[in-house]
Amino acid sequence: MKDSPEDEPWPAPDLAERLLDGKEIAQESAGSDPRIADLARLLTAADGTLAGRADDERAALQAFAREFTQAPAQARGGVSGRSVRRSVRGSRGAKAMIGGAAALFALGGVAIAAQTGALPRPFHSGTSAPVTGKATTAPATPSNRQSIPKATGATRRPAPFSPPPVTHPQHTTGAPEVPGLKGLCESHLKAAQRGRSLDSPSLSRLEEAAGSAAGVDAYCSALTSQPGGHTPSPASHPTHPTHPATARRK
Amino acid sequence: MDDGELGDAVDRARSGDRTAFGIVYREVHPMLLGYLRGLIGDEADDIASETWHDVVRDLRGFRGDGQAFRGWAATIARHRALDHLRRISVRPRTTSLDDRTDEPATSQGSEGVALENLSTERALSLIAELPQDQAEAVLLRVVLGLNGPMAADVLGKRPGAVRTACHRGLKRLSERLSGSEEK
Repeated sequence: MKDSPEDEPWPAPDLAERLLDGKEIAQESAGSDPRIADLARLLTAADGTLAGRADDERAALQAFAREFTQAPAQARGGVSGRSVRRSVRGSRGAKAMIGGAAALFALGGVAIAAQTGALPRPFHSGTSAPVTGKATTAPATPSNRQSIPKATGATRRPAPFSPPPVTHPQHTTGAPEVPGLKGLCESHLKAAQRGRSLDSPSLSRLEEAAGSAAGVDAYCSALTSQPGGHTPSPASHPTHPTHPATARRK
Repeated sequence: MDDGELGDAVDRARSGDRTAFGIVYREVHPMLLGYLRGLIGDEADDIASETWHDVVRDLRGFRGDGQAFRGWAATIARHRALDHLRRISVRPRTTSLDDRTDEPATSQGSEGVALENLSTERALSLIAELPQDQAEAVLLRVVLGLNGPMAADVLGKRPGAVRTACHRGLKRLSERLSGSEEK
């Protein structure tokens, strides 16, 4: 049998690939060229099963068992020691984040409480002042802002420094209270006796509650003389503790 | 066993399933043995054992289907075989790949090869007589069942080069079978 010419590749590329892939060769291809059938027979024989040594399989299985039972955690999910350490670090980090978030919320609550007057101010006596029912008629913004520190403070700090819980008008009985006004009044009166005055925001609150700057002394005298701390007379405007700046804008 | 089934077994073995590993071993070991027999002859069993040691050690890091696993195992086996050949290179050997020339041995003259009842060992030995690049390419394609690109990956060559080596190897084998090979 002569070799194929150099310019005609043999076997044909497609046929060679089919032989290498172990695919069936068309009958006409094999029949027309016996070399194809011989090659297919040789390659089929080469692809036969060689019997390995029995001890080798046993050794491989034992090695597998050793490898995957000595480190079962790794075997289950490929969790390496580094991953475990990473998860521990992650747990610590999560705790730190939770603690940080709690501290952030607490500080935020304090900041908002201080801004809305729910926290004790300088010279605060510690008793809760009344809140008038007219607070519900105030604009939504300050009222909503006020509800945040109230809820927070009620759960974190009990009386006497805690602001009163949020009450709805239909649940209110008796005269409403304004938190902190009595304490402010006491501080105002003491400061006046010493020839001093309160800081501007505190004084603004009292002026707002009293209706005018001139009426602060009378207002505070009346308020501090009442054992329950109720407002001496209903104000003609909302008496809830608004931000001083807001009050001034009104 | 198709690639999907082998891939599933490999996945189970990676998670520690000893039965699955046994299935993988019995499926792939004869292929590795055939490839190594063509590469290094009688040392194939020892090198295959070393190969499985490496496979077990690194199995957790393997990702891929059945074909990728066969290619990965073949790569390990090839490195082991070449290391073995380097180790024994100080001793004169006549059957190692290093000693082969580019032309095949023609020990049987031109009378051809009887294909009746051709054994696997005999077929592998015929392939092993090819030049090294052709022999390896044909073994990876035929014995390990790798496609062209995967065989090229194992050999670290371009797919086109491996394809050419395979086709030349087939032609040379055909010549060897018919006894018409050029000397």
